[in-house]
Amino acid sequence: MTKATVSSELSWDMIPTPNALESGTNDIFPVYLQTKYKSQVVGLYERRYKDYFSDFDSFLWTSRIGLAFFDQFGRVAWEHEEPSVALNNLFQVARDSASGIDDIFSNLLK
Amino acid sequence: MLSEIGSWASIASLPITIWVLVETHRIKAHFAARARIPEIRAALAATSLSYLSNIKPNGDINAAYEDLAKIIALLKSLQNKPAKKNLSTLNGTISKISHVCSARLTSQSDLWGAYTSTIEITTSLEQIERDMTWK
Repeated sequence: MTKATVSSELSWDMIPTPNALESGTNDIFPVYLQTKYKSQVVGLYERRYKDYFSDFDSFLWTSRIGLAFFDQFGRVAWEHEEPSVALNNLFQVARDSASGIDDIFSNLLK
Repeated sequence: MLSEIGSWASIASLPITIWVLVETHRIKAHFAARARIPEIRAALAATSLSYLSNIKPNGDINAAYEDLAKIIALLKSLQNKPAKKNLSTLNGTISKISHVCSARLTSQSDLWGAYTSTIEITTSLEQIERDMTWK
């Protein structure tokens, strides 16, 4: 998916976070990206949440990147939030692709 | 009598003292080998992201080769850190990326091969880092 995104074969849309991810939590989703990959609806998101840090004995804000597959009813069929450089890189290139930042810079430099 | 017991006790404790010294040295070597792995892993992650943006169809291929050179330097700094069983994998990755960089290969399969090899090593480092945490 990273390769398809970088080579512009796969485009991502920045849309509001689906209820299936957001409802029932106090988490914040500042960025939610969605695409259709091989007939499968795929979502990429950043989840900000409060986590307990025993060193400080307090709850502090932290964030993680997640990847989710949705079924035909919009339910989360599979979710992956294990931190990894591959997932983080995919999120960054997908966000760049959805934001159209390259086109913005190209237009500014014209 | 007491001095005789003391002498024998000293002789008996000598191997224990040597064993403690050896163990201390091994623990020190163990931590020294893993020192700076988090920093190198973070630098590899940042450089791999920069490399990705430079191998885009409209990217800067020369900047991509510069990123590869940085990745090679970072991987070389790892050569004295992993266990011996991982050293051959690391050396193989270094030579593979060096070939892409020095021969200025431009095919997508070569450029992506260098990226996936970098991600493979970075993922291994992430696992080592998790093993290092005191939990």
